[in-house]
Amino acid sequence: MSWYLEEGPHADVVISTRIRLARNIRHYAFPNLLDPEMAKECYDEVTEALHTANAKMKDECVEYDLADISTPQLQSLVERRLISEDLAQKRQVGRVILSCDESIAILLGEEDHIRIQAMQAGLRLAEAYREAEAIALLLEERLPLAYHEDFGFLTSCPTNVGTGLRASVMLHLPALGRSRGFDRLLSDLRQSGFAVRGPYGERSNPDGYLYQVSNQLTLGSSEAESIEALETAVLFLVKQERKARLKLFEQQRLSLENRIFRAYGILSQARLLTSSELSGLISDMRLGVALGYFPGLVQAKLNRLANESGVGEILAQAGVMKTAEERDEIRAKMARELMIGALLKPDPHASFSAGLNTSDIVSEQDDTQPDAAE
Amino acid sequence: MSLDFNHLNEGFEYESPQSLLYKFYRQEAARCPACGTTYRYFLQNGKFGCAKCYDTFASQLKKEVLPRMQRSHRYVGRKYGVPCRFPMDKAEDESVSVPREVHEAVSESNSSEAVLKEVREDLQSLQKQLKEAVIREDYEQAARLRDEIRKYQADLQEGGKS
Repeated sequence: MSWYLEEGPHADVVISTRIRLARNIRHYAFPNLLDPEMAKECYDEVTEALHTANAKMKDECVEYDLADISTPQLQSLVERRLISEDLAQKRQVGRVILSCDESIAILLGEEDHIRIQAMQAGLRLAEAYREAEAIALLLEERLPLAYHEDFGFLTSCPTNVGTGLRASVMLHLPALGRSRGFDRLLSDLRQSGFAVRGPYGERSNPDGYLYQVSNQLTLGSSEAESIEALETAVLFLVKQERKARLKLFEQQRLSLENRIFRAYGILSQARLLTSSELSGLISDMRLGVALGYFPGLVQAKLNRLANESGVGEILAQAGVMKTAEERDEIRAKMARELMIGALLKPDPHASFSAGLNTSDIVSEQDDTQPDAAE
Repeated sequence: MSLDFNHLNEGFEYESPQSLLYKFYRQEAARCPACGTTYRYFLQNGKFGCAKCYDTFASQLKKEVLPRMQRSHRYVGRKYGVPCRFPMDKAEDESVSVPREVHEAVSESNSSEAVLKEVREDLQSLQKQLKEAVIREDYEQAARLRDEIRKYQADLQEGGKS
């Protein structure tokens, strides 16, 4: 079971939490100056250390040499945010170690030798940090990692030196993102030391009202301080977003409902869907689910659709080449299947036959309603 | 009153052989001996070549680079190999991992409190390592840690009494 199939805290606004720790081995040059042979030796040392540290690791994790996997598989890893675009471009030497539920990804050979990533659904910064730190500690014990008394953990780029920590939270802000004061709010956030970006790292623009907020400083602030500051900022945004949704509901209910149900109409009937159209529609559906219009649907299922409907993932699943139209057809079919029963209140006695997890839906409604009343 | 002619050189293109030599020397010095990265290369690419670069370019980093990038050049994160502590799990940690005798020993003696505190911190880290060793089923390491912890505890009790 993948980590994103679970419903996390504040799921009505927060999609996912990610922690990244950057580490390097002391006696190797950083990846930008490391020749392929040395790189292989270096990354072998890391995998070896991980295997001896934890015998279970070998069975519970999958290791990919990026040179060995197909291009769609590689693209799928990028789409599902398991590896970065940077690593995908360094395909000849790059490697990734994935845990079974894909909540842990250890990237070898990106900008730094080792990048440990831990992902969780919803807002779970401390938990995700603990997961990543446990692996960092195993490596610190077994390998001579680059560490400096004055600068902390050394990284290729000094923007990461120190804690090597990048904590980021992906938020869905459809109401706040449309409101007038939002640009100022973003610039205030940036001034307080947070970075705000679109979902796929540094290059893209916010898409489907998804925003990634992360800490920017790795010196002068401890791991716990960085994480707490980010959590405070995220909780503030969550509160503002809920307020904005309530305002939207009270003041423009008709146009809001129109938009949400049009999205539902398209998703439940369309025969072809491009990925960019889909991300906009999923955004409207997420808002609809959060406002309680779709008792038969939970956020986690929309997250799954978003995660598994990318070009690379569709091709990787199909195993053969598909034209753009064929991919759009597959995508539309996935959406139609998900929309079945979305409007119906799940019958608690029929939960087995319907295949819906009713406890998720109940807790989802409990989460959103008192907050909307605030 | 002493005369100062230094200002006469201001705005002058001409550079003395000494200053050229000095500049050349500086350029040479600003090359990482381990990987050959120069400060100039770093300014162009934003990336260092190896861990040693941080020693080579430490002064430039502290003066020019980090104030712009990080707002601080002081590292306050966790020490190598020691887990980070969150304020919220501090209270819980202390009640679990530090024996009551240690608390008493520390509060009883004022003179050696600093030393005891250090020992106590070491003890905590050892206990944490022990827990981790048990979790990953590394019993050899766990036994070694257990013996070490016993030694520390004995030391602490003695220190508390004297």
